[in-house]
Amino acid sequence: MTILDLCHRLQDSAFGTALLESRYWWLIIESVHVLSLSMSVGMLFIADLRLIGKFRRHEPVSDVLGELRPWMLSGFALMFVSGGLLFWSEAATVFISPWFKLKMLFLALAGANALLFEWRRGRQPALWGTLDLPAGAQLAGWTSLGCWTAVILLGRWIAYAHT
Amino acid sequence: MSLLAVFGWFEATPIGRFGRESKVFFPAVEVVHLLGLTLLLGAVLFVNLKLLGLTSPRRRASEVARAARPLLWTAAAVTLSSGLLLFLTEAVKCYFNVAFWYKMTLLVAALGFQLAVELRITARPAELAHARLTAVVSLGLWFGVGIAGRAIAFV
Repeated sequence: MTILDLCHRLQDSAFGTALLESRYWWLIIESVHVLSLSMSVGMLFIADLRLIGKFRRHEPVSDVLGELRPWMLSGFALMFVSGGLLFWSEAATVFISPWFKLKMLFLALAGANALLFEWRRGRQPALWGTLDLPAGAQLAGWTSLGCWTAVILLGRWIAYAHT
Repeated sequence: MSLLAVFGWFEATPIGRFGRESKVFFPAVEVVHLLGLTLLLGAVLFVNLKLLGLTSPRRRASEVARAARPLLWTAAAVTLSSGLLLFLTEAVKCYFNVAFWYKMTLLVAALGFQLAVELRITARPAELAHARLTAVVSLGLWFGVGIAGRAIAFV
C-alpha cells in the first residue's frame, strides 16, 4: 500500500468524511489552525529575534526562551492537533499537492533546526546567559525565521492552488 | 455620494484593478498579511501574558510592554498596509460582507485601546493599574479582529 492509498483511506474514513462535510466544525478547526499561529510561530519569532539580537538584547537568552517556551509549545500542540484534523479530512487531496510536500519539507527542516539548537544548548549551558550569541545560535535563529515563513507561505498556497 | 460609491471608487483605483487582474497579487499580499498578523498577535500575546502575571516574574509589566512596542507596531504596520491592499482589490465585496464590518469595528477599538494603554505606560511607567482587566480586553479585541477576519472568507 502506498502513502497515497493510506491518505485515501484516511480521507474516506467515516471521521474524515464527517469532518469535511460538517462545514461548521471544519471552519472552526481551520480558524483555530490559523489563529494559533500567533501563539506558536508568533512567540517563536520573538524568541528567534532574541537569538539574532534584534529584540530584548540586554536580557539573557535563557530568560527570554524560558518564559516563552511553555506558551510556544502549547501553541504548537494546538497547531499540530488542528492541522492533523484538517489533514485527516482531505489527506489525499493535499497529498498530491507539491505545495503540501514542500510545506512538510520546511516543517521538517524547522523541527531539525530546533532539535539541533536544543541539543547544542544543553551541551553549552554557560553560553546562554550572554548578551551576544555565537554565530551558530544566530544562524539557528535565522534558519527558524526562514523555515517558518516558508511554512506559512506554502500552507496558504495549498488552499489557493486547490481552488 | 453613498458609502457604496466610495467603496466602488476604491475598487476602481489602479491598485484595485491591478490586484483583480493579477493572479498572484492577492495570494502574495495575503501571505504578507498572515505573516504580519502572526507577529502582531504574537506580540500582543506576549505583552498580555505578562499583564496576566503568567510570564516574566522578575520584570515589570510596563518594561515588557515597552520592550515589545517596536515589534508590535511594526507588525501592525505590515498587517494594516497589506490589509489595505487586499481591501482595495475587493472593496465592494467587503461592503456587503457583515464579517468585514465586525472586523473593522473591532480593529478600530483594538487600535484605540492599544494606543491608550501605550500612552498610559508612557505617562506613568511605574506600574499598570488594572493589568489583568487590560489584558483580557486587549486579547478579546485583537483575537476578535482575527476571528472576524477569518469569517470574511466564510460568510
